[in-house]
Amino acid sequence: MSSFASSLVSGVSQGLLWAIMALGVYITFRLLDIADMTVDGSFTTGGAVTAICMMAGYHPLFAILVATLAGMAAGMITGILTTRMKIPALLSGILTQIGLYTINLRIMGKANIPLTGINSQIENLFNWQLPFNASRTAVALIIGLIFTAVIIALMYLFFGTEIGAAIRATGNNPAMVRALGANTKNTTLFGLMLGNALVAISGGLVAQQQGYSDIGMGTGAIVIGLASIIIGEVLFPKTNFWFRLMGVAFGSIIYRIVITLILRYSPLKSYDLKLFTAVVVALALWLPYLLQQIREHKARRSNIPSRGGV
Amino acid sequence: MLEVVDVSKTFNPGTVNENPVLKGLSLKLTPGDFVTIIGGNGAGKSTLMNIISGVLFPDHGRVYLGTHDVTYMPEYRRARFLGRVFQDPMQGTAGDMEVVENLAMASQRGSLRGLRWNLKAHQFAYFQELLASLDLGLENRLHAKVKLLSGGQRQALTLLMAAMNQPDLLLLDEHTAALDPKTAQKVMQVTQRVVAADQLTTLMITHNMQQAIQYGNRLIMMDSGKVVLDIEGEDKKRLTVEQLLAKFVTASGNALANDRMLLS
Ligand SMILES: Nc1ncnc2c1ncn2[C@@H]1O[C@H](COP(=O)(O)OP(=O)(O)O)[C@@H](O)[C@H]1O
Ligand SMILES: [Mg+2]
Repeated sequence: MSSFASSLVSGVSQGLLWAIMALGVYITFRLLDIADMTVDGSFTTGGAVTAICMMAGYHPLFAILVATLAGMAAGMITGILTTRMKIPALLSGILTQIGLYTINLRIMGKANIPLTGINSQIENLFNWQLPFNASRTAVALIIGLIFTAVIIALMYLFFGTEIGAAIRATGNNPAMVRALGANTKNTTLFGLMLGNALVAISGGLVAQQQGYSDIGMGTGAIVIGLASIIIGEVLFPKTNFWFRLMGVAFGSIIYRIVITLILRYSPLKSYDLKLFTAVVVALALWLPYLLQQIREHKARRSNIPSRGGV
Repeated sequence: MLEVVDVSKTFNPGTVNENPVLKGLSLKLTPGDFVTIIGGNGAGKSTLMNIISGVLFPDHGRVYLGTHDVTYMPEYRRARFLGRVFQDPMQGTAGDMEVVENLAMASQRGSLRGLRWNLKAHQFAYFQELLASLDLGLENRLHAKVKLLSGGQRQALTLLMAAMNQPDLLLLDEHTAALDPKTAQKVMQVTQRVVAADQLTTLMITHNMQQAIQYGNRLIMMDSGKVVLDIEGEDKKRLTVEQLLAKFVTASGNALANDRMLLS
């Protein structure tokens, strides 16, 4: 395979694993209308929990399950801070994220747990032996595809249920949801738990795939999630829920491909990427307002006085 | 049905902005009552509504719905007794969701939400029939996002949602105030119809004296947090806008009845 093609394929497989994180961010950011800063911490929590479970000899899928529960717990803390203690959602997420830094270090016992090299004998999903002779990248691609597809399907089904609809409506109009008899404290709490569960699953898969868990692996995850969502919305504007979820996954894939190509073909280094992503997301979030201003500006220019004033 | 007993509410107590809004207000509705409430701006009408629906809790006094003491019952729990339509057409519906999704959520008011589908096939015909009764063409727009509807259409939809499952009490807070006169008229017709269909006990705040006289079997005037006039039956039917205005002036001791009420 050419180096260009292989960076494409690697971008796609990375994108699929990170897409699960972006789908979690989609739940909080788009459905609940909360910018949930917990994500940077809970992504690492997912990686940390997965790593120690695997080190303890548990099956790598079981490790992901435990990571899911840990992510839910993280979301629950943020949910309690904001719904029961009335701390603004943004600040609640930041507080949980800061607290999780300590907890993640305590879980791992050190800043980095390698899952390859000296620990290469432990079971890893990405060492999966397929009946045909598949490369590591191909295995990553298949695992990412399975997880992302299953999660999108489950999300699509869940948000079509009574509880799912109440969660969606909470981000839209909480007063209406209460008037219709649902407890918006619970819907918000539940949405935060679900979102962070997905984020932790993604963290666990990424840790397995890259072969280590690291205390800094979640830094900037929220921004990457937002970038994926925005790219997805540009790709699939005004479509139904199904396509919006797919859009988030495609957004994540495109984000990864762009990053891989930048690293390969530009002088930018991996530590430049956070600034790059932050700038791109800031510009994208500015865009709707910018377009509105341009429209207003045009309207003002075409509003020519028909007769003199004072 | 509804009983409000000696309810008081002061905003910002103990500050320079202390504002006693309700001062020992009592009110009792019998089943089937359709009560209109008028009163000047800031009389405390919306505050009373908010205390009945659990958005606010009173400082003093009790609120009963049927045999339940709901004084401190959380808003989402007492929702099973209440249907509500607000002044702001945006407030009663979820704009990013479809018409039919909104109706479905309303049909779950009063029951525990679970993992059943929000949209149930067997409800579609019923929803379509409800929408058709509005005569606004909404029956063909089941899957339209509610934010694409006009203010009047949204308000009519909210009304259907509020009246669904026959609430013990229907609360309407100036629900036509934000609409143009023609649309307001239309929404009032719908109101009249849904109230009559199930003989819903209704409390309707309005700033429009004509409306207050024309609709309902009982009229209440509020001023500075108190009921200053309570007329029903034949007495109410014979009432004219001029008489009502005069009563407003004597009751409130305020010669300057506000413009909004005079004009409408
Ligand atoms: N949540 C609140 N906090 C503080 N003051 C309020 C609040 N709600 C209403 N008020 C004040 O209470 C008074 C009565 O308001 P309201 O009940 O809305 O009057 P009405 O609906 O009769 O016009 C007004 O002076 C208003 O500013
Ligand atoms: Mg009011």
